[in-house]
Amino acid sequence: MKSEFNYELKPGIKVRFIQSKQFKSVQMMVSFIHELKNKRELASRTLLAGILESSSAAYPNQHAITLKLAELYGATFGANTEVEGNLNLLNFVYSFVAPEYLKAGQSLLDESIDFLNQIIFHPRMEKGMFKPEVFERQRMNLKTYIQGIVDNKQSEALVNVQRSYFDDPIQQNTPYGTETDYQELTNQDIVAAYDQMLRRDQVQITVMGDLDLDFLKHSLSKFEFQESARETLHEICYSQAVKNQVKVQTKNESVQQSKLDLIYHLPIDAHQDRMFYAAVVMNAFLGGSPQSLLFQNVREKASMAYYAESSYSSLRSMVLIQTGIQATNHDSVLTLIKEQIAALQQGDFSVEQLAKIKIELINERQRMQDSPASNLEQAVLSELLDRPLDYKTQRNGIQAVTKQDVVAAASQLKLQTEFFLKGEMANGNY
Amino acid sequence: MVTINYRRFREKMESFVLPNGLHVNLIARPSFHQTEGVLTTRFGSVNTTITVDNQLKTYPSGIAHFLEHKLFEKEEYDAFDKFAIYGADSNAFTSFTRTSYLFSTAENVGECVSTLLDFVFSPYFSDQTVNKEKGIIGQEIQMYEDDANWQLLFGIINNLYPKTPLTADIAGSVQSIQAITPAMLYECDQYFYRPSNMSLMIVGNFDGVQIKEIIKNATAGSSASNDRLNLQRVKLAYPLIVPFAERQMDIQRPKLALGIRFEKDFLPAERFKVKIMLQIILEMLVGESSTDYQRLFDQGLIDNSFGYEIQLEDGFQFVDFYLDTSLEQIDQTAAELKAIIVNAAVKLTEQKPIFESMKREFIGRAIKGMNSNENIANHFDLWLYGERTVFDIPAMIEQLTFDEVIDFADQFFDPAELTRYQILPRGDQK
Repeated sequence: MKSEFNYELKPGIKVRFIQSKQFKSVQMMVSFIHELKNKRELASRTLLAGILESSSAAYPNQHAITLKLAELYGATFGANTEVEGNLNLLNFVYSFVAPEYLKAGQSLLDESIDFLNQIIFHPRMEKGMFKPEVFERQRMNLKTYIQGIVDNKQSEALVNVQRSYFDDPIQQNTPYGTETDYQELTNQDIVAAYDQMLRRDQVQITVMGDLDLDFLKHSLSKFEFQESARETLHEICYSQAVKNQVKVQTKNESVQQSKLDLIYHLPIDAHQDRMFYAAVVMNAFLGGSPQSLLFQNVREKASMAYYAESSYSSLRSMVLIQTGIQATNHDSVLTLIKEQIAALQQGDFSVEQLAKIKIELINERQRMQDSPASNLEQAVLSELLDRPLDYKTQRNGIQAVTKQDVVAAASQLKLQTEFFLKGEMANGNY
Repeated sequence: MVTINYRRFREKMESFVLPNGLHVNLIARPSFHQTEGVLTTRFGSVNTTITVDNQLKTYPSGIAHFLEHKLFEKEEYDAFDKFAIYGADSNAFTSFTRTSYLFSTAENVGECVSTLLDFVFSPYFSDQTVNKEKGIIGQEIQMYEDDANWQLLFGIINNLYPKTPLTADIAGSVQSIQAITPAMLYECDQYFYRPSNMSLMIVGNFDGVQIKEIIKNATAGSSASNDRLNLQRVKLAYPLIVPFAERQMDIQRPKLALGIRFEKDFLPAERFKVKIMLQIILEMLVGESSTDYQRLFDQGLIDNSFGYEIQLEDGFQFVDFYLDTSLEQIDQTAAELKAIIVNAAVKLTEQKPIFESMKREFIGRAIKGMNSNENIANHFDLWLYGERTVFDIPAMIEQLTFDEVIDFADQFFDPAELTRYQILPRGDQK
């Protein structure tokens, strides 16, 4: 059984506690939330997360942090950033084993809060700057990580199609920013980003596990948050105007398998109700599952792709299609994809097929309840959107979607961008 | 029927063997929403050479994986679709030594169990469906051929076990799979898909009484007649290692791997312990808890791309270390890592002060692993570890002494069995 408690630790610092006995550990996430103003913030906040994650005044390097976590019975800790529409979340994610399963039976809550407090509020600084070698090391690591993304061809195609589709430089470069940004960022920039994070960001603390509420409240009150005027978050959903012209790009590379990625504009976002669920179901039907039209007709029947899938971003009003294909099949695959979309737009599918897709989606949501990480992510998203996203709400929303709704959602799809990573090593065996 | 009680974790497992030889293990967890079912056969990519009644038989590389793909498709239906009707996800994977068929569901567990036991035990292969699959698997193989990390793994395996079936990609090659025929698939099915060569594990939210009844009825029909078959797997050869090899690919950053193998085979109880000892040893030697990791990280010789993998199988065992590096540093990094590996026992003795923390770390990891039914199911391997589960890990670690860990490390890390493999960006071969 789960019960939920919400309260404010200080103005702009909200706590959501999900009390549950299901898991053998306690999960926590402290999210600093900021509305992005320019593309460089993608890089500065990612770099900031990297620096804070790997050192603090009390734990000067990765080694010291790792050993502390080991002592806390393999507590898990990481800092990361994610982009949710127009917002950037800098998350400190942490989990520790519930005391009843440890031989010694000790509670790790207070020590855990103390550890996180050290990491968040007492970084390793020197004369008002982050320790130069930590800054430099993290900057180089992230730069090389960004350079390496294109070594995975599926990611390379994704980076390119998104750069081509978006008008807004922030969205073009999500989630990490560009190599140039990392080249140019200074220690001072990161200090400024840290100051913004501590004093201006909205904060959401999410905790799940078998804890006593008063005990938790007492522990959380030890976090050294300052009272300050925190920013107002305006709009989480990103949108851009639909274009009449389709942008087409091709890049040649000496790889075996080609990638064809497409982006469609879909003016339905997460604030909507009925049409939001219609878009979720429509996407699952198009390419969101093994039962989908793309999987069945492009991969299975025509045997033309190893993967062919679609994903709907309700925070960015778009549908992305990704495929891995033979270069020579480019035209046939493109035609097949368009045929599947046309089928959805014309209602050329049975209610039985629709029912299967809905069952699959509902099951997926039911299963997410068994993942501690999904529970936390969903709680944060629900807070940001200010709408319930619990299992029952989602199940009812999906169940209510009709054939007409799917047709109505599909009819709003407008192809905007095609990106083709053309493999030049195709061996022509089949 | 045997019931094992894990009182400390408030969990239990029921085990029994059906008259036809199928091993069944059930772990009911009512606080969860989903149920995972895994049916495993001891048939993997290395089993391409066998003797049946003393007659030698050789099959094309990739046949186990091909058979896995084809079992889903029946004359009248596709097993994927059948699971989907029940709202379940289904999947399968082939490794070096086994093939597993899985479902994951939140509803209709009984129907899913009978579907799983039904489709895996009713083969149907025709010329037409087999030929079509060659296209799909060909695409999958090409995708892996472009995947530099996968190529790195097989590069190091080629050095460790040259010219053995282990060096073939699990899916085979575009050429090798062309030779596969329905007759061969039927033959392998008959040899390897006998109930006595298989095990079923179900973990999650289900009604034990109902599920046991379904299992007894579902497999009652499949005969055990082939059990008199005298089938022998041809043991993997143990040739001399290739100490060094390299190749070029279309990548940005060079990739380096080191591998070390160990000849002595283990009994299941021993192997279970060895796996955990190796995890602790490697964390102390080159994990983030080690002083050497921090030193190499600070020198910029390794970054977050560094990792290692333990392969303990029936007939072969090795550890491989891998990372992305640069042309300037590749030799120095290789030398540093080599020095650590060949001096393992000395290095570990220096790290003795953190041994108790490491035990805590791995106890915590094991307990957190109990949050996932999938993890519990996948961790179970009757032939490798006997009837041991993640619930057995914490107590085993608590009893582990530093002396036995050192003794083992001393045996395992033999400099003569160490090899190096690297992939360089095209045009940069040294």
